[in-house]
Amino acid sequence: MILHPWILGLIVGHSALLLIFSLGVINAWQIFRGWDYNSSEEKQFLLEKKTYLISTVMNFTLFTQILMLFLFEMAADELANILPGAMCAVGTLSSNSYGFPLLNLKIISGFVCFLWLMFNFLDNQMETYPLVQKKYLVLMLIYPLAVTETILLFMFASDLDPSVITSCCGSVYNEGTEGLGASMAGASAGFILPLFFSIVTLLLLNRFVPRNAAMRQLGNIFEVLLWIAFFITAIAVIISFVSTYVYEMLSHKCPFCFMGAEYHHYGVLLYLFLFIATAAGMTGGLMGRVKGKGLRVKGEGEALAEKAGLFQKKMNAVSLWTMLAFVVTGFLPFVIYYMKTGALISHQ
Amino acid sequence: MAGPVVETINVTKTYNHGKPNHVTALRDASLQIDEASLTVLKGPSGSGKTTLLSLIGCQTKPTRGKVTIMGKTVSKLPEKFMNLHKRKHIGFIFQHFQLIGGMSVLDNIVLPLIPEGISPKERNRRADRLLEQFDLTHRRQFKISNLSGGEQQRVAIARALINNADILLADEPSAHLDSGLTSDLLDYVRHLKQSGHTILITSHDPAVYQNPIVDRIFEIKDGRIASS
Repeated sequence: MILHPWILGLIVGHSALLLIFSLGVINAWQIFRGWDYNSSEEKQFLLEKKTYLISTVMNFTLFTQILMLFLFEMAADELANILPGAMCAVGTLSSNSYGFPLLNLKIISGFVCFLWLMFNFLDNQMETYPLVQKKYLVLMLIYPLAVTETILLFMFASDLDPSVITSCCGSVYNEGTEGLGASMAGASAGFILPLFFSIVTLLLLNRFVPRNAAMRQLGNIFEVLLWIAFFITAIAVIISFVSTYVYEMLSHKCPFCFMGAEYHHYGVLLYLFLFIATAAGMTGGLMGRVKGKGLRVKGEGEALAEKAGLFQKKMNAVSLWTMLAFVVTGFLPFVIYYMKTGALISHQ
Repeated sequence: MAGPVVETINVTKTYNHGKPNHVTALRDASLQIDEASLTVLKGPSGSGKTTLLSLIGCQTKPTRGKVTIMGKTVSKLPEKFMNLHKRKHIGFIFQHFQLIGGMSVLDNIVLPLIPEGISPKERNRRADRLLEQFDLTHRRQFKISNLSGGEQQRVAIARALINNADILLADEPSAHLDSGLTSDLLDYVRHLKQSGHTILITSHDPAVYQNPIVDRIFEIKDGRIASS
């Protein structure tokens, strides 16, 4: 299986990215350790040159790392054609014990990479590299994620066996079976929908209710946590509620099948809104925190706070509109079904 | 502005750093240039004049030391911001003018304004003012390759001034000119100085550095500022 073009492509891509990442981390360590902005010595000038190169290379690497998530999903969907029992990507992912942990890790790593890219973007907007040491420290902390991801991919790929019958999405997302997917599929709409809309309401309140500086700083951390909660509950809503109205079946709750052509790639659009809203929302929270910290430092700190504030506003607007788009897109099948039949599918 | 317009502190520039063919073109160069003054950097070929001019003109970064232009330490700026500062404050007249032969006089002059996002109408308005000032209006649509040396020199000066630069840098501007054109050049420089521009010229031509309009001379020898 390891020689299958999709698997080979993923392994080569991930290995190449890891190699570039490793070189980036070595340089990041040198910059982190030796950085002294006030120095006009040769060593500092070399580090300044280096940071430009490394941040450009890492921009490319982490952006590609994010794209690999989508490539991985496509590969899993494609591999379902040769794995007995698999109907979609779920079959491939559940064919061994590494599939879903790898997907989850890729999602986490995707968000973390996005946040680093935004952090780097902000630093590159400044004249005095105020975030250099912090951003390279974060980069070094992300590195183990990339290593684990590549190792897991190797393990997943080498453990794929076309002679073993795998589970299809119908059994993985079935409330009668065990596992996280099954628990989400079995979640009652009467519980998950109020929870989801409570989080959405809290996000809006957190953004629009005026507060003093200290509360705003706390609110920024709270906002990041709320967006994480939003993402998780949104996935649960997709599995337990949205899918029912997309497939118009009570028993089919797969969060992957509707990404296919037979559903006009509806899921792609839905996930795109969800990922963008969450990533932009978390960035907005982090930028708020950078702004708050910057305001405490005169001069360059204030300039940083101003840039971070502008960036926060943009990210907040993006997250708000894409969240709205997600809600509209997600509940559209329900509305259409109700208008068509005047009835509900969900019995919970 | 208060204080010097240009300041370099212990600036060193090494080319091909860390390689067998490395050359230290400039060592520990420190100087200050005041506003609305004319300064000449003189010295023999290969002494480091052009390197110092390039550092002040934000064309390159030093290996060590500090370069401050209009109160901002440009040697510490990321390249993007250094270029912005250069476009805003500095006009450069190159030794061989570096005009684009296949393009018209007008197009050459407005070139520095394109990255600034200035509208074509405004670009042409500014260019027309300079064309008139340098007596080039009748050559507006001529290609550079069809101009005489003196006209090319005036186009190069006009291009350096199009962004309303505070500081004008000229690298050996009289190197390829006869005495008549050198005299014309010094006339233009005098006018520019009177209008408040700060001018820095590299030259080993006595007709330039012995001219009474020069306020200060720095002599460079073997990459060091020998006297001022």
